Amino acid sequence: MSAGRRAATSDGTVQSEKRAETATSDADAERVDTAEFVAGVPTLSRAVTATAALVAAAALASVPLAAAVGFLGALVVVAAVQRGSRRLLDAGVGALVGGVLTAGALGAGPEPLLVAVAAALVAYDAGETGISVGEQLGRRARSRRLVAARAATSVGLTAVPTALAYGAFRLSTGAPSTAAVTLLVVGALVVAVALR
Amino acid sequence: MTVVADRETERWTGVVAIALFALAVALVVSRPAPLLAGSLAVVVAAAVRFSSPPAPDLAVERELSTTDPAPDGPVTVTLSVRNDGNGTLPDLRVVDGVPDGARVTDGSPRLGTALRPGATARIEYTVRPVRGRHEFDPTTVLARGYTGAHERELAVDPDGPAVVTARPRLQAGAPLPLRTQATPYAGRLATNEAGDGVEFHSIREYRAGDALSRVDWRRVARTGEFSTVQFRQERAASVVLVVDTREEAHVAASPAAPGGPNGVARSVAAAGEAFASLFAAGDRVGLTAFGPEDAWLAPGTGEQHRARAAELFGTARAFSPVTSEEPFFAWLAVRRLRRRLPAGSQVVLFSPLADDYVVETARRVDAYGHPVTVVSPDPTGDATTGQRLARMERRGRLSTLRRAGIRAVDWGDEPLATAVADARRRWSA
Repeated sequence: MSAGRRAATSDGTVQSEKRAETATSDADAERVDTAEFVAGVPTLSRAVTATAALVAAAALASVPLAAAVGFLGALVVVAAVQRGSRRLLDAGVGALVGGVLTAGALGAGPEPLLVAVAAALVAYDAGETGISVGEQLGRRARSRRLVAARAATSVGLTAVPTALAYGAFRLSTGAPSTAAVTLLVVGALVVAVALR
Repeated sequence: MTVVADRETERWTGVVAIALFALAVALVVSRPAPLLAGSLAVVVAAAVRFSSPPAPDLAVERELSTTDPAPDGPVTVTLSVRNDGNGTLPDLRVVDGVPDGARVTDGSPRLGTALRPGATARIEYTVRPVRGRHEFDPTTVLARGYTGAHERELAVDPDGPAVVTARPRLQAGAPLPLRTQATPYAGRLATNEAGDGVEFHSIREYRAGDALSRVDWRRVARTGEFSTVQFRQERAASVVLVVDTREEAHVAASPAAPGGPNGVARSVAAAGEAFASLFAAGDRVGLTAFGPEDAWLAPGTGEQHRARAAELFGTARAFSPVTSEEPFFAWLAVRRLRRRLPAGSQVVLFSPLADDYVVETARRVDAYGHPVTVVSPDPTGDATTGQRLARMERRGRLSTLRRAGIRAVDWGDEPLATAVADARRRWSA
């Protein structure tokens, strides 16, 4: 019987599908829904991310090849936060880090490298935060405090170790012995394994 | 406040690889600078390694501007979140649990913020619930720590009201003409029976016990014979409003305007109007749904009855504008309807007439001795060939009903009162 009734209704009237579409009533036929959820990276996040990425690229200016790679990375990062794509963000930050290491390999000093790496970390942090906020809260939600707090913490948290590393580098003088380098490498590997 | 999930965001995955790569580059080119750069990555990895999921202690409160709005009326929701813990929460994402049947029309029910101990964040947004009872879901809170490596999801039941009930105001519309079948109660339906009333009906021989005021004294004076005057009786009708709420009735002319009312929504609106006007006229009105969800209000009178009907219109799941998941067995429903209809009651069926079964049902109920009037909101369009075909089919169903002696009101876009007046002209002609 049920099948028969169903066949009887298969006419041109539009069978309203499911809950969401039918859950509306008389008066709002003409009203446009103004507050739908819209996914999208908050503007402040985009600004912070783009600034940090460009700072990172600019810090590499002394080595043209590295600067080029870094600038390319920065552009990809900007595109990533425009489109809300994590994959692009990873690629862009990867290119930034690649630029930093290129600069290091081609003889850039420690100061620009530290600045560039710190800025790249801030760009990644702000970018990823922006993308996740864009997915979870959308463009319409108020999220300035969150984005600002996140940017401030990431700047603060990278500035301190950067300063420490730079201080340690300045204090150490003279060429290291082979034994010291070996120990350093072994120590670094142990730390890396421990932190995985 | 319950922890739904602890997640690792894995946003810093690979940072150790960067550190090792920097180390390798430093060794190959024998320069310290890349090593220095890599050391930052090591610091980040260490910070992530030693971070743990945040344990926020939040006080969430929800305020509603009203819990009893008109259908589709605005309700302003204010949600405030206070950090009752000792530590700063650097990354807090709050999503309020807006009910399915309410749409956000202003503001956003979502918030991203950072809270110092004791600090409060507040969001304000407006929802418009459709007719019915709506319960807010718990508020979802996502908290991340300073590194953002961990994310804790919490479900918080906010303090304050969580239920919004949008009851329709029962407003009397045009009086619905009824079929001639009456109850033993005095009312507005003029019958062909003799008895008490105002309109003259007949004269009969005096019987012992007849009221003296009814005796035709002039006739007594003239002829000496006693006779009694009878009047046309006026009785109340007993009406059961039946709303077609089957899945087949959830039809609308166009899916492009999801705000457009579907057949059931319009039927329920018409039933509400009819209920109010019949009630105001003193008729005994009942209410039921012909669909998967059950609703039944036996015919009755009085303010309490009216309040019960308003509650049923407002909150019964049967009259919800969304389709039900329950299975529907039509023959059981017809049998139940027939069992419930009080003797002598008539039926007003509200249905978009989107299939033949409802026509058959109307005829069957009519044949059982409950005169049926059909009020049918027109859900068809004429944009496509299919829609025009559906329109023709529906007209065919209306003709079938009318041929069977069932009154039918075809209700298009005009106000219901206009449609009823049009139909009435045809009935009296």
